[in-house]
Amino acid sequence: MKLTRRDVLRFAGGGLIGTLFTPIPWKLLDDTAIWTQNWAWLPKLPRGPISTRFSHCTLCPAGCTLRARCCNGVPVGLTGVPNLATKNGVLCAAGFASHHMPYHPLRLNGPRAYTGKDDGSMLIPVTMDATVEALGRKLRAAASATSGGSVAILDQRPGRALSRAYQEFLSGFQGGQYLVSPSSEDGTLRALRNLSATQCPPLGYDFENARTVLSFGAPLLDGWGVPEQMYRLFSDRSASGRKLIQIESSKSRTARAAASWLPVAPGTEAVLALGLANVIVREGLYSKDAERRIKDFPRYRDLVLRYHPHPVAALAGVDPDVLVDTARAIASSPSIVVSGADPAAGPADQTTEILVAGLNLLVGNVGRKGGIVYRRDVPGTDGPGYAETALHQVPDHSIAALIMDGMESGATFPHSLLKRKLVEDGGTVVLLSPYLSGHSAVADYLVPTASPWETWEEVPAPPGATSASFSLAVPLLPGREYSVDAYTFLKSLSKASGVNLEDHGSGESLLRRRAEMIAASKRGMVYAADGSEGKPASSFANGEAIWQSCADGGTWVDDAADASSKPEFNILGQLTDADLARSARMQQAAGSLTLVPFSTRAALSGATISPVMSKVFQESDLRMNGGTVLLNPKTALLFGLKNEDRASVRTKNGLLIARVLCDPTVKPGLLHAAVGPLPNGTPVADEEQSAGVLSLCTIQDDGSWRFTEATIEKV
Amino acid sequence: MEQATEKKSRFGMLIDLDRCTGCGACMISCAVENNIAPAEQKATTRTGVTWIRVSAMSNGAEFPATDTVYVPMPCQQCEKDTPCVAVCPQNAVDVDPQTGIVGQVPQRCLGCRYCMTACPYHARYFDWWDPRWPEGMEQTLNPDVAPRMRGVAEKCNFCHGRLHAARTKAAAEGRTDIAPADYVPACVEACPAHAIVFGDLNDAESEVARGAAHPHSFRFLVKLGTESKVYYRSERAWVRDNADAFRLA
Amino acid sequence: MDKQLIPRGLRRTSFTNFLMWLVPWVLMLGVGLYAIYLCLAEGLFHTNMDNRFAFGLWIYLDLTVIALGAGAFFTGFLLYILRRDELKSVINSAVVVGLICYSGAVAVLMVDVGQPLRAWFTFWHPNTHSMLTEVTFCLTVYLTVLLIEYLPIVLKNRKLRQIPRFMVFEFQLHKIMPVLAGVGTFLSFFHQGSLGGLYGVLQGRPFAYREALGIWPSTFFLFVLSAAAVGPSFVLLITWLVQRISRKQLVKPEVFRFLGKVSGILLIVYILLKAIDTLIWMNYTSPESGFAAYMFYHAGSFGTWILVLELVVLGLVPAVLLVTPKMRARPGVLVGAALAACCGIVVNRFVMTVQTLALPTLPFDAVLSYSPSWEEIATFLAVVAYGVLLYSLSYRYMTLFPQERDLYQSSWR
Repeated sequence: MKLTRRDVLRFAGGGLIGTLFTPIPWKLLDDTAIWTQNWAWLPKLPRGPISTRFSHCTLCPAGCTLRARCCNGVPVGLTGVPNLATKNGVLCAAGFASHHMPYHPLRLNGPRAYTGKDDGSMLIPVTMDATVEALGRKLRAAASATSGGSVAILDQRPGRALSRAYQEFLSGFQGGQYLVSPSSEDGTLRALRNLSATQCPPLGYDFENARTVLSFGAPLLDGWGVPEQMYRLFSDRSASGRKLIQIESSKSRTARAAASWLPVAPGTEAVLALGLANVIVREGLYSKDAERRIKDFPRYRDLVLRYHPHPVAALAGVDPDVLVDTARAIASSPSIVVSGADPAAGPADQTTEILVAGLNLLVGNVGRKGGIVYRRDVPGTDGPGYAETALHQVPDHSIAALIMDGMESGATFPHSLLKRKLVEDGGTVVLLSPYLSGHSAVADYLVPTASPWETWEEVPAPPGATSASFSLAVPLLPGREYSVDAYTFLKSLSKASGVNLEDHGSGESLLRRRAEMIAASKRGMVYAADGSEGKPASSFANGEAIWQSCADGGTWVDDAADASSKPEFNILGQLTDADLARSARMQQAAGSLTLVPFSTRAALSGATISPVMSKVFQESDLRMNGGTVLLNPKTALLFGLKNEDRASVRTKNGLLIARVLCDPTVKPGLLHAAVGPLPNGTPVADEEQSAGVLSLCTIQDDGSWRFTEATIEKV
Repeated sequence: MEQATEKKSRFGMLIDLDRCTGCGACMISCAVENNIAPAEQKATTRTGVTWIRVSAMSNGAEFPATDTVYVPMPCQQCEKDTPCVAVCPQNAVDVDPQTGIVGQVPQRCLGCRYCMTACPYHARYFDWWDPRWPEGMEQTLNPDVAPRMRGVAEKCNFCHGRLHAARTKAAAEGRTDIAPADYVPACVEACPAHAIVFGDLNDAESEVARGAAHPHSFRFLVKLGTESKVYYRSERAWVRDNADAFRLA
Repeated sequence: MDKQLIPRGLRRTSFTNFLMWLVPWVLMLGVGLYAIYLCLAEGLFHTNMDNRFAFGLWIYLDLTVIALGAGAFFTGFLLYILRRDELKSVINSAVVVGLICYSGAVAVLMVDVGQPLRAWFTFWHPNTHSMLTEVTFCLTVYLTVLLIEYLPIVLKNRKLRQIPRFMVFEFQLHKIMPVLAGVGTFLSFFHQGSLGGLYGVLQGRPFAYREALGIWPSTFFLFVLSAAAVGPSFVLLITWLVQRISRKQLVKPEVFRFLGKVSGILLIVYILLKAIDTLIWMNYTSPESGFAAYMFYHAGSFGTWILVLELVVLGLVPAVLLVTPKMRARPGVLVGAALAACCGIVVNRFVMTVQTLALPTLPFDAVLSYSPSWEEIATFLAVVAYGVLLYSLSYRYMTLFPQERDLYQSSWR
């Protein structure tokens, strides 16, 4: 049979038509569409039994109670739990994604060391044993007389049992210093204790019962203290008679919700505090008891009488009538005067801190219900303990070896501050952290610790709490083989450096020991996470029972402290006339701006929050990625800038290329510069530079870095 | 056959702009609940996916008279001539007559983005990238919500997964109607300032229905006639006065 | 081989020259195909479109190209239905241009949508209320019609005609041409209109929204009219361009003048109706939706100048020039006015697509700007390259201008 071209064509044509009557083409068509729904690279959803566990968030010092919905034991969703005891019942943005943290792309998966100190220095993997051995040597050398400095530990989450172990470890070194972050949340309380002439118990803010709260820049409604409490008390302006007065240069989230807002000129807060005191003293509104307790009252009175409200108001740029009303408001009922700033802006200058503390003393807020109340430490740590110093308050070049614990959660600080505190040749810095966070750039050694959800972690009372408390973050996930327990690491360090440290086993046994001490003290109440009534700690058989309750999400809360304590104070003791003179208006050179760093609590770098936080930082303009600067539209116009421009920001400390956004809530003349995460996927080296804004800041003599003169230019 | 009837609901929201502090908790809890992937490095405010987005709205006055409210904007669940429903060429968007919720069917979506141009609230988002989580993080995905593939439009559906859960629970307890407390979208549950109220607008006694009737309650772009079911509320007159249209700088 | 394919009696450049001419266009097509690969394989993040600028360069150019491609249906309509036989001299060229415009537009659309493999869903689960459904239906069917119309042009090729079966087929096709022209006109009427309706129905975009006449917004009719008006102008322009490039006279001058006249008359009607429509929109439609119309012209850089440019400078002026016999007798004016008319449509489609999306709606929205990425531009240029290639091949090997032979031979004698 001969096959012609025609036959072939016929066969092909017929075959084609015939195929159309089979399911084949239609099935294929359908399958292509189904395939688009089931791409192999689409993530698969977890499958497995659903369970619920209670725990606490460890991303910031608030330590909010949460309920984790788990699939296969892995948390897949978090909810805030109203906690009757500690009043922390909501989660913040970062908290809602804290269960992503174990899978963070910036996780540190083994010990690392920098090859040197110069810019070309590289991060290389090292073994744990070599790290411990090298550090032991370095610690011994640092403790020797020739080092010119001492050994220090910077505890970024003070108040834990581990903190106590750190203190014990340090006591083995001559001049060992236990440091806390220059966090501003308890700055006023620390200032008050520093002013006391006699023994002063630990302090807390009694916001629940305060009638007036005067805040010198504290971001009460934007990540401060216990968020649930702050929102409940202050987010509704019409709430029952409670009054929030905000003193802040720009109209921040807190200022817009406050009952009144004083747009103070930057740097004149101390003068404003003196002006307020002036009204209170002249009108005789001060507490007569306080007059007795302030030992240098006559000198203080003479000083404040020099600051009449009118010139003060003119200098600070506020309405004199509002100033007088504010003074009367804080003097007329239980009030709290608190100073602060968001975590990147650091502490207020020392003069302001002292004068704000002085205002509290003047109106008799200290030791009064609805004011600043006394509290006790956790059982086992009562009584005279170890000195606790904020990093910015230690003498310059006094640290030869520094161990930094944890990631920066509550607050951060410029690397230049750390450099200034380290001995001239740089000393040795060790960072214990699960992530390559902002501070890893200044460390010589990086030691990976367990991430949240992988280890028992203690959640102590948040800063400013009215009583001590104890709760736990529960390990729902197995630990990684490369991460170390901070306490175990400390023990091996003590062995390597020849320091005596009592062995309590593991980090977990350290916490169980604390539960035992609480049980033994028979103080306080234990509240379950389900919101049921609290039970006295004394009704628990032993420490194990309290531990069990806390492991189920419960919280132990201490009893109220004895209020009869009457410590005495010297307000002006540490203040010199030169300090006061400096508190005059900041001199702003023509054509320059005042740079003020800002940030969001818990979100100080890309490593401290889940990548999904890009929703607020990168995928919307709700929060700012690091390196964004906010300017008043008028200021921007003056410098020829508009929204989304790129501009170079220059201070005497360096230069930064920033993204410009116009924001009418920023006071003209200010340059708000964001410290925060960079866009997802930014290389680690750049991520470490996210402290770029902070490197522009000038560190003042008192260690604060809030205001820096800067210029800006379009690029 | 026995017929189970559920009462007809019109789910809606009331957002108190005076209480909202712009913290962003709603946006993150939403992303976690609905398996919205983290941003790729190049993603921006304009290519990101946020089913609820909080934007700052200024009164336009100069400092210090300036005032700001934060406006959380989920899909407004328009009721009348729902703009995105009419335009979709292949019926990938629908309004559930039983709940009034505007739904999006990602498996049927062509990705033409016509619905996005139709939405005056910019509440619809396109998946410009494949959804990707860092390695291992897919274990933390919500097992109840399927992630969307690249190349489709997506938007808020009032946490539809939670509605299903509430219905399942009601059925297990022998009810046909869900208990209001059982169906609360993630953003409502998350709001630390309790600024968002959610419920059935058909139920005149519900907090949301009563709140929506308050003289200080309003809706954005109401004159477009879309009859959205997300109400806002503010004591600030300038917010209400400016809600109908964009403003000239 | 090349020689044998070139229609008898026509003069064409050497094969080498022809290949040299093709090279840059092939390169352009290659770059564009790479860009298309990136968009399809990795995702549309390769474009600069975003959630608010959900439609970008591609949709804008699709609308423009389809409006300009209207020359195919309208010339067919005039020739086969209204029996204006002088248009026989350009109908083949018009069909090729139409085919290029439509197939190019559909190809770009397939890159533009996020899930091209689901494109057939529109036929399977159509939403009959959607303008886009109407567009998709008409576009695909009309593209088929254009292919059938293109077929006889191909089959008339010297070599192919040698196959008797093709010859018969071509002859049969020729007989049904008026039917196809009618179907094409009908389909074009709907999809040109629906493309206008695409924006006119956007209740949520008060800048684009227009009152409905029956079930269609006024933009439906304005788009049909404007496309019909510039279609002949574009045919004129392309023919003139081919004449310039090939340095040959291809059609008689009166054909040009006739195309110009048709364009001019329709343009006058269009501008009149568009003006009325704009006034109604400014005074009623827009204010009723809460947006005072003046706001749209004070936002960003979109001033009233754009309205004047579209309606007067590139609308009324070329229209008047084209309808005035004295003016259109001058070739320079004729071509210039046709170009202006086409530019007017380019501006109109820009206003409808780009300005609509750039303008804010919510009180906290800003005016947005958008500039296409290289992938978007390359993809579009690939369509241009494809068009030039297809037209060049058609021109070389097929008879696009039946008068060319006569004109050539008469000039030779």
